[in-house]
Amino acid sequence: MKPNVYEAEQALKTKPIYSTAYERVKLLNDVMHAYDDLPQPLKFSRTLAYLLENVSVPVKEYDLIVGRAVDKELNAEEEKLFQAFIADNGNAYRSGAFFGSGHSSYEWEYIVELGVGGMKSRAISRLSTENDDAKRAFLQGAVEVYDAISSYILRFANSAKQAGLAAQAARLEKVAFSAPETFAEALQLVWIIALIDCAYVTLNPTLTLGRPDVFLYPFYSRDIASGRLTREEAKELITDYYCKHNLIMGRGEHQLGDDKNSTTFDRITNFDAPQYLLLAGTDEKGESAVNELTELFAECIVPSFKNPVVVVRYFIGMDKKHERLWNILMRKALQSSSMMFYNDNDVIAVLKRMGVTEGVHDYIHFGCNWASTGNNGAWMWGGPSSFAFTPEMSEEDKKYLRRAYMRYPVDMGWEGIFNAALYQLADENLKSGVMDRLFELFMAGVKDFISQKISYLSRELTVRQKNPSRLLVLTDCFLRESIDSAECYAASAKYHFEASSFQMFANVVDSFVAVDELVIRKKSVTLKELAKAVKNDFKDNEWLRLACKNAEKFGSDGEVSNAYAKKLITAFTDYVFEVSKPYFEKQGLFLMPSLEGDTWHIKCGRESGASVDGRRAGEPFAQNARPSNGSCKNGLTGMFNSLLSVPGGSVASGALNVDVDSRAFSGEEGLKNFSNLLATYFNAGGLHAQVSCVSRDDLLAAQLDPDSYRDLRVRVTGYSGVFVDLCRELQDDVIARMDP
Amino acid sequence: MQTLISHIERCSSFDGPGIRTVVFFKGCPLSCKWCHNPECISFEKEELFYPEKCIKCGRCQSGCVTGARVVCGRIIPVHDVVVTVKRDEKYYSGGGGVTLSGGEPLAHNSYVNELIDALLKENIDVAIETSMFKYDEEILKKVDRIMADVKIFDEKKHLEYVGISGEKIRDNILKADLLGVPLTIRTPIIKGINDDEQNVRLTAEFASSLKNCVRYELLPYHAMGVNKARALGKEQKVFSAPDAKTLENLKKYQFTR
Ligand code: SF4
Repeated sequence: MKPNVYEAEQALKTKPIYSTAYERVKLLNDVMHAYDDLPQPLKFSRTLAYLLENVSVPVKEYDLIVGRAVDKELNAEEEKLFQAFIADNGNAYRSGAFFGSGHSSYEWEYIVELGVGGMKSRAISRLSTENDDAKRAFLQGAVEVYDAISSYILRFANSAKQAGLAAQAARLEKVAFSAPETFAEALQLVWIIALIDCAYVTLNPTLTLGRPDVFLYPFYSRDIASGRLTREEAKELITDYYCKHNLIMGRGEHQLGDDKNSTTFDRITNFDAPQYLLLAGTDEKGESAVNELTELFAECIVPSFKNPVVVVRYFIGMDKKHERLWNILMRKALQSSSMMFYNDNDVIAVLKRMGVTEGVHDYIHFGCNWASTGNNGAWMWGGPSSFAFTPEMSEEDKKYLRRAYMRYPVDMGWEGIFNAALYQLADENLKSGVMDRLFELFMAGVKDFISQKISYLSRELTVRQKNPSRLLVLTDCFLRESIDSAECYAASAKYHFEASSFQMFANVVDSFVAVDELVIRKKSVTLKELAKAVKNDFKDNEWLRLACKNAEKFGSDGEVSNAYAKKLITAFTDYVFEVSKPYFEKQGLFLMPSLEGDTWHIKCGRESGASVDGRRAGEPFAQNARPSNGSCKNGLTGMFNSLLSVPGGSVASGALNVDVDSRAFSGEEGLKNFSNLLATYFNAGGLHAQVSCVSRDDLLAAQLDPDSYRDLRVRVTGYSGVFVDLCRELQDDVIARMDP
Repeated sequence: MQTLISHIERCSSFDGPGIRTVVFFKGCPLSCKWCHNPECISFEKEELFYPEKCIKCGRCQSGCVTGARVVCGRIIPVHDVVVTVKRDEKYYSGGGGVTLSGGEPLAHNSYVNELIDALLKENIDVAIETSMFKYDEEILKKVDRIMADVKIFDEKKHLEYVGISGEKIRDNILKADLLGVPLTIRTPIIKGINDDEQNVRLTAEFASSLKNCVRYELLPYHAMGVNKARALGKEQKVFSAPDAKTLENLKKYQFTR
């Protein structure tokens, strides 16, 4: 194994969970109040300059792409300072100068076309025509940021020289000021900028790295044509670039950790959130954007790496049109590589339906699975999450900037909306039209939720726009439009959006089906009895709970559940588009319909009562677009068919975990079967998939809770069996086969 | 006697090429001691009872909702099977289709004949997994592939463990070989019963002598039938899979052509 790959793998496995980029904290602490008198843009640029002048710039002898950050476990004294800093700033990222919570994307083609010097010249020339003080400060700040970056790159050039890496040093000297000319220079520049963002600036380094197969292709093809670069050399550079992303990856769990591995926002600078890189997809004419470089970036994916997450933009027919690429991607997917697939045909349709006209084909996805319009859009939540307050700002305005009205960062509690509808319906004693009335009541709750959300967001945006040049964030330095307007993108981007997720989708669908099946069709229970049982967490009524649990489920390709899924998602998305329209026309603001709930299905589940689908109080909900665990009784094809009952172009994001046992699709034949299965799903309009091979842990968990793992299939010998249906002896046998 | 279907399994990647829907027929004239689908031996409707799932709700008569009491064996009209099969039709494009299994599909010849015709009319690839206890030319010549087991070469042992003549099965396979339909021959390998090299070598030689045999494969024993037999109120002897070393050695006889 190459030393760089080994080092990255080791970092992922052995880096101490509480390891922190201490230099960042210490240096930020030095200058915490040094620039308090300056407007924020200058406070930001000078703080960043101080950081970049003083942080370590280490180089290893095997670095092809240069740029590392240092992190360490803290001693008692350092810990004291660290805690004091957090107490002062809320978390280790804030300095009063830095704003933003990751989830941003840069105009990477702009960066590699102009280089740092070119971007600086543009800002200077814009500054020369500006008279407004706030805008001048904004542009001046940007100029200083470019200078800070140039100096930082030069410091690395010196380190490289000292380490005897002459070629790397020459590349760094070049891109410190000038636009890159070669593939290696361009990739080097991309990495340094990503490093600055992820290690030193952002709160949550979920940076999107754009479409490198597109924006780096001119460099690659030029180099190949001139003989300056071979395919193998390009692969080595890309692999090293991937390694670097893993070195800045923290361990631990920022969302669902326990006492031992929790690394919340206030703790880490080496965060466990990854960066996102998009490959393949279509261009503005709707034609394939796949090129040779797409294949190289795919080939270089190391399955054991966590970072970056490769988002493959599938488009209908890609499997046949680019057979070799599809083959590579499928191999990597079946090795549980950190990658996911989105369907261009769906995401683009959603954006077009909203009325987005520019940059539709350059859409991206941020972590975790949040769709974005690309460089011309700002995600309301993911961008600068607390826009700088101005002295004259009212308390009311501050409340909007702080999101004081939001219950959760993402929409939650839809099962609660369903239950409220159920309870009301139970009191109405209807003789007929029960299901229609339930639907009506549920949708009324949903509409209320959504309309309130967008009206709040609109208020927040209005507050931001009152003083758009007040804030400069790193993202602005890499967006043409921000420099042209001298306004922060979070206030002035062409589009502003926020995900509007149909939360607990499968639980809601299953709840409708359970009422339909048990109350209306089978008449096994009355509505009142059902409502009462759900309210009481099915206490003393295990029979009813199991009847609900074993009713038809979304994910089994049943006609009733598919029909409810379609009806619900259609009503939901129609409303999201309808309610967004006036805001879109006025402010470019809209809600992006989605099925994404991140990992909140666990947290929210913990806080929620029982649901009609037989879920007990406190148990997790179904995650994102995925059916509830144990619902996919007709295998992957049944699950895909259920998902396909969600009409194409309804939602722009929503993760579908596809868990497969590597043995079910082993060897060349298995690869062929799996590739075909997934391509068929996508060609039929499937939105998303992320593949993991079933782990031994899942099998052990299945033994303890068989009902939740009914869709877990294992290869027995010449056929497949449902794992939990196998006798204990055989289960143990299969588990033993999965031993590492 | 009406044909009962035990269950239909979708998205199988093990019962023939590509992604397949497998129809399990209820009823089989053989009585292999290690049968992995003991619920498919009887031709009658049966009930499987899993006591660990029973909550003693006393509602057995109106239908158990807990999965403790499961009825096995349904009359499903051919048309309905085709409808289920067609739900996954788009996934069959990589060489997949339907596999008729069981139980013994050839023991349900009139239903199976009708089903095959209906599937072929829809251009769906049809494979049959059969013991070849009989030679049914009408059915066998129609299907796209045949998968048959040659379990034990020794006649006496075959009679003892399978319940019928192995020679007759091989005769039927030889006849089927003349039909020009691709054949897969398989041997379930059970420790101490048929995992001796001579048995596998003879079977492999037999398979390779067949003109239309495209594959010979070994299927190591698994105890999948034990739990189900218990739920049916029967006891099934637990056999063992061959040792890893033995199996590795025997694998040299597998072939694909
Ligand atoms: S209905 Fe099912 S759970 Fe209830 S007593 Fe009968 S077998 Fe047991």
